[in-house]
Amino acid sequence: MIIPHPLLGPRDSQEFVYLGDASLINRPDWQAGDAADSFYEYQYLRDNPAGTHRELWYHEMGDRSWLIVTRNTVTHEIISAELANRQTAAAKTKSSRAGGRK
Amino acid sequence: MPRLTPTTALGGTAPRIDEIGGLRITEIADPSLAALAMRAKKNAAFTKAAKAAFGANLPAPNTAAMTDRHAVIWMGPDQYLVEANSADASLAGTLADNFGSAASITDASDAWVRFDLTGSDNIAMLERLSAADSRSMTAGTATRTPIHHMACLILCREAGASFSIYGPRSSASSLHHALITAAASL
Amino acid sequence: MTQVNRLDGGLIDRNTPLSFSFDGRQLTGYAGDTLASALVANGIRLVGRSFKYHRPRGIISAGSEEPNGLVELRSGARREPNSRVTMTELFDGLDARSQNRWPSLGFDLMSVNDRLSSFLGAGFYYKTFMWPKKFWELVYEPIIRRAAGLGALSGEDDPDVYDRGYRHCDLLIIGAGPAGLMAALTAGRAGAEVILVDEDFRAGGRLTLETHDVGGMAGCDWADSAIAELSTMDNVRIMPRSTAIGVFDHGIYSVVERVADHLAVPQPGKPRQILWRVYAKRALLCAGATERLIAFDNNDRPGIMQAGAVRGFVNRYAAAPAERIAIFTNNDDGHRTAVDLAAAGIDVTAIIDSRDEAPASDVAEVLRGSVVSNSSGRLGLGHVTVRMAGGGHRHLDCGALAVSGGWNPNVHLTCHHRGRPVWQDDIAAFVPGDGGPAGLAVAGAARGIFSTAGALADGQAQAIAQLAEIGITAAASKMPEAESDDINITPMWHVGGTKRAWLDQQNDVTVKDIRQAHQENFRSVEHLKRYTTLGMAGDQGRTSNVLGLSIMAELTGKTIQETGTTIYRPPYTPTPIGVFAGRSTGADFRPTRLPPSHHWAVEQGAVFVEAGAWLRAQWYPREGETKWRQSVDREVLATRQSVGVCDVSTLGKIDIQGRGAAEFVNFVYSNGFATLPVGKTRYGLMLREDGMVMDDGTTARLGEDHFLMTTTTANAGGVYRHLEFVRQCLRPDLDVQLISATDSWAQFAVAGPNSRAVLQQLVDPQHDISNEAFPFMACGNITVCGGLPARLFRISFSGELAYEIAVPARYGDAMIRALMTAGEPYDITPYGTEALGVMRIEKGHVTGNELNGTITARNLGMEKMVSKKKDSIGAILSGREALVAEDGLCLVGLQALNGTDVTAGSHLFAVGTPVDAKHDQGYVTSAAYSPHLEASIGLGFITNGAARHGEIVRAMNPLQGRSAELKIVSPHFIDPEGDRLRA
Repeated sequence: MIIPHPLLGPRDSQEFVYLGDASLINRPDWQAGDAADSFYEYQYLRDNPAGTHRELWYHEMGDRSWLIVTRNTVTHEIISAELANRQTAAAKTKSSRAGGRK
Repeated sequence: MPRLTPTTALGGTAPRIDEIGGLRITEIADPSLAALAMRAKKNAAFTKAAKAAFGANLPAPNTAAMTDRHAVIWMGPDQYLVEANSADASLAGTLADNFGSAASITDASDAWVRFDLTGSDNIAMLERLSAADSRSMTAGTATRTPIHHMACLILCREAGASFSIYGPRSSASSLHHALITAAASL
Repeated sequence: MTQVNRLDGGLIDRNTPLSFSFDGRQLTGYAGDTLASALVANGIRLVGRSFKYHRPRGIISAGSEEPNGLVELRSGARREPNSRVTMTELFDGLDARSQNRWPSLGFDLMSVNDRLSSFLGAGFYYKTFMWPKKFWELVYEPIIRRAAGLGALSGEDDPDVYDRGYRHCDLLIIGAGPAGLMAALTAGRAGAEVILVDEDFRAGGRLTLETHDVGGMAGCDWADSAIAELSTMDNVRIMPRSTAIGVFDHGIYSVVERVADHLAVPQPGKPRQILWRVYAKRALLCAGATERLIAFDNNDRPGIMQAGAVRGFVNRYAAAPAERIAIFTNNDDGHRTAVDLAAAGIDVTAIIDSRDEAPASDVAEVLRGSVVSNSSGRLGLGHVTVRMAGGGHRHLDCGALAVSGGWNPNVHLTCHHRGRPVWQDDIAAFVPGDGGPAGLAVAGAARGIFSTAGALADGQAQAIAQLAEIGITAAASKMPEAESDDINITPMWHVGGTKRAWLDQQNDVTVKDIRQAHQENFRSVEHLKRYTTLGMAGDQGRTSNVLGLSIMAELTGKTIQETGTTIYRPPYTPTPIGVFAGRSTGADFRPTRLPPSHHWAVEQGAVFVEAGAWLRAQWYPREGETKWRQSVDREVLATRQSVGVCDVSTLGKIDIQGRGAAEFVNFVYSNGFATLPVGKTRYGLMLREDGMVMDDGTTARLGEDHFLMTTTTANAGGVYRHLEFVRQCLRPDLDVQLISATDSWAQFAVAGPNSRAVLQQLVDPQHDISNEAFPFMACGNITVCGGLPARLFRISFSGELAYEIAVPARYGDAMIRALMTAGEPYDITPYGTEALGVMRIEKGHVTGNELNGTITARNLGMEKMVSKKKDSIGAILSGREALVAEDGLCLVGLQALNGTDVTAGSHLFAVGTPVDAKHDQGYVTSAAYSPHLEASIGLGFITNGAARHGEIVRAMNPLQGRSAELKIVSPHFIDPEGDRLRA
């Protein structure tokens, strides 16, 4: 596969290491009352969609960026690739505006 | 008290040079390098200090800013590798002074082995080593790419004619083996 | 022997005769021949025996689809079985042997299988080798293995090398026939980056095999002129002898270039083949079409060939398959064969045309509405029986039968992403359907446009369309004139008969097998394929599939479209395994990392061990030492008694800087780091989020905003990746910068009571390293040997007074020599990884053996190191109920009793309990002989271990047939109070 790196352009997926569901960037609040449950869900409960999936890829042989790649797991079509870093920042702003994460 | 004498990455006292076919592969004995990373929310100060230190704008992704004294190579978001054109043991220290609290600086002179590649067949050779499109590289193109499973950097100094290959210093022998094998197999 | 069937003309070089041997017979051919054409020219029709029935077989094609002409090529270590004669270029001294026959090709004892064919039909193996069950491995498997396969491997290492390569282009053109050449000219003239690959050594595709003109010149001359023009373009790369074997996601194509297969031996240092990974913005498949046969009784006799191959051998190679040739066709293309053969002076016996409305012929009698119903001849064709239109039979003398059952477009690459071809009635063949790989278009015969004029025009049109999609404008040019005939096919799949009619000649699948599969309800194409093995041979059904499907369609009353096809997968043609390995074999399997003292260690005669990618000194044998234990025991004792030195540069080192560095380190370690003073080092425990221990190491605070973390050698890459994940994804709020410093520093552990005395000779005098000024766990930037910047850490893995001294890697070699000189008065001893391991087991320090991914801090007795007062990775989930159970595993020391040994991997049982999984209480992770205690000791985990010190348990190791009695002790065998390391 070719991952369209947002900074470096098309790069072979062989340069990357795959981690998993992009939900892993949404780490729960350790001080919340239900922290034990929410960490359990965060760690183990993932969707496994046949279709569009947001997933984390690390450009280990390149610029060491973590990317969020939105990919169709059936066709392998890649819909988008963004820096996870910026994405996290944006998501945090959004969720704080919406009243904090659940 | 003994004085310590450095060795090259390949372990010699003098840099290794190989000439194979129309290709010349030269080990660079003592590169002076520093890793330069911007600190958070210091964009303005960092950019200003870079301009002052290098006399050039910071390079865009996939490129290096080549000046008379330095090559500033884009390594990752807000991260650069600074190469001094001539040996300069104080490179990291000078940069630390220049950038102050706007950057984190680490001496990287011993992190890498550098081989320079000149000659007529170097595109054909690079095609055997790396997925990077060396044919379309122009002076100042810099690409981090795996070569035989090693995380390397290819820096084009002159399109089609002159390249530097950086690899992990501890893998110098394996990288050198890969280069001369590829050169001999053309 | 003369080349009895050699004609005049052809594209061979008669000035370059080549000698070769087949089954020991010395023969000659010419440069430009394939082994197939040279065999044909020498009148050899019988080339092999079939897989199952050992039927005599001959060449049936002139291309990569060849199912029968498979030989053992070359000898010795280069012997390669199943080499296709049609793809083997003749070279001087070529040595080939037929396969699957004994004692000889002409007289093969195993041909008795042919007489037993009624027992050996489809499903024979499934039905026969069922019971009794105990026969599976002892009786049946050896029989099946002996019978399996055609040729034999040499059993020796492949002496050739293979390579990998990477190329990029705007347009990859697969196939250099009329469509591919026209596409390449169009794209090349437009300035696009073009790669043109072709599996032949001569470009032109069918144009090299045909006689008709293109652009007022012979087709092969037009192809040569096109190649000449393309060769002048820098933006066009032509790759002959190269096959695109697979299409992968997003425009990645695998191309195998046979660099040296046409030479007896590759040139020194040069690869035999290269696996190219081609990154193409767009690709055009111009792979042409494959002619199919018609099934009739005994249609596998040597001499029965594709019509297009027969005229191809005559036209291109001036090699006549026989003096007298009959033609069996269901379309007009068969008639073209007759014209070409007659022009070459060959006697065309008759054209047997199954169509009632077949055209007339100027060169031969046309038997309209007739079919070939049988063949005869010993070890080769002598006669065919023709069932005439009006009934009745005619026997025709002929040495070859040219069969044209229509052409199948080579759609295979369009199916590599599960695209399904669609049936096109007017050509009675599958053409590429929707759902092919994105960015791959098809032109010419590969999509059913069979005329030369049509292929040329389509090649150009498709090239223009593909380039337009990537913003390159290409101009149309005037088409060269060429034939534009229709083939006018009336489908005719098989001639009914009473004997066996062959579909898949390589796997010996007949019409009868299809009927049997249908009868036994294996009717879906995927079931049919696996039950009969139809299409599972090296040609992936290129010569057989459509015939088989048509027969299944007849039996089920469905259309061929409804019947469907099986899935074609990479590789498109058989490919040697070696080319996939490339250079990554043997010592070059992966790169090696060498620590800075490596060259010095080699001089010392060290024995080395691979630790991940690193090559580390395992021990340093001295003269007189004959067993490794002698060396290791000596190194341990010398270190504990005086001083030892070990290269520990392989430990991962990560430079962490930034205003948020302290908070970051505090977050990734479970124990507290926020308050670590500058100039101090602390042991850190790193957990995964699930609460298991990921890694451990010491981290030094070099400045307010500056930490240096060390990791275990094995986990350096994984920990760095994890830290980047935390930095970028979990804590982007922190100001942190990371850089790997592993390779930058040469770091040496100097351990033992005299370590300070040794270092004091090298450390510049302004740096006080006395116990008071530089106590246990101190660290700092210093200078050595007159101003060289260095770092000193007062840390100890061995449990002794110890330091780690780091200098820039380029000074590593000089530093080890300086340490050895400075240590001479103390008999300083270099030690390797074995002694390192012994000392850390004696001290009870854990490493990768213990940190095996299932171990928590609590298992290590370090639960107090998981702070509850801060947020850190793994803190929450390490509190899960099952992980804090009272009877959990606990790290213990183990000491062998009664002269037995502790063996790592053994499982632990309470004395008197059964040895089964239910009573398993734990396991041994590390073992060593302790010269200090003069005992075999180890570390391990056992249920509730902290409370069981002093108890005797049994260690069972059924894998090695060992058992031992072990005493549970504290894991700290040596200096549990830590007095030595604080000395």
